[in-house]
Amino acid sequence: MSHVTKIHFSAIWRSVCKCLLARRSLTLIGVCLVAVGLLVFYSPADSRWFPPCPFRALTGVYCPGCGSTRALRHLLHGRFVAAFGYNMMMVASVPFLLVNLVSRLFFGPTRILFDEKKLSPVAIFGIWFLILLYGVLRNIPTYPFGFLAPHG
Amino acid sequence: MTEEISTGKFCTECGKQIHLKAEICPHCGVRQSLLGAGAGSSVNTIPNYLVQAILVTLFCCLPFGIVSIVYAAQVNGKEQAGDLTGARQASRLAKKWVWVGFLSGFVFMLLYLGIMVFAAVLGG
Repeated sequence: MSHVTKIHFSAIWRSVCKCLLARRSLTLIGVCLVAVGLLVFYSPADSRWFPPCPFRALTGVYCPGCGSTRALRHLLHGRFVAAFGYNMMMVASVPFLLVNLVSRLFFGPTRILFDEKKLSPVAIFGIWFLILLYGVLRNIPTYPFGFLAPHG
Repeated sequence: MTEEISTGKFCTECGKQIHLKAEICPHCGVRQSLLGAGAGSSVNTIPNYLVQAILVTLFCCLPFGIVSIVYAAQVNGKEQAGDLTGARQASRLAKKWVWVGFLSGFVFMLLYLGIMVFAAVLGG
């Protein structure tokens, strides 16, 4: 009687999702730990299993985020200069993001350092322009800008 | 009833509409600070999703991340100009494009992984 012993995968899937959602912060920490572990032990430059940048795969042009996975791996191993070579904008933004996220976790929503809610619209458009400019400049292959493209 | 809701305040953390006298947001469970309680408060309280937008731009999907940063700037601009309705509208749009960018990046990664597994199985 196969229908008696049939396992209801949809019900299992639903309860797994419910359990993960109920412990959202724990799930997030778990996913981050797995991702960090993968990045520490496997190199995105040598392994075929890390996904490439969708933007570069579709257009053939570097985006402002290109090289950030390889840069993160170098950061996790403490090689700051190598990380800088792959994506200096990501490396430069890490301290701000870390301070923002850590202060958000420990001090609550009213005392966040580098609070994005307190930035002026001009500053936000400045960041926006900087990201776009970085994306354009790192595609110029001549001398001073070639340094911005991801390189080992 | 609708009049009461429309004059209610908004959660300082998630931005959802809550009861005027609510001390703890029923949606996200965060205690409401006294500073952000008044509607005419000078403290910015509407989330602009700038951090998430920058993360999506760098790690998931450039075009949609760029769109959500523009909306994040509009949230702060409209809130400083006193246009709270417009700021909340921009906040919702910023959140929407952050999710669109995140999910399209995620789907690309899943597709890529599926193709790689398929190729590995075929190649032995």
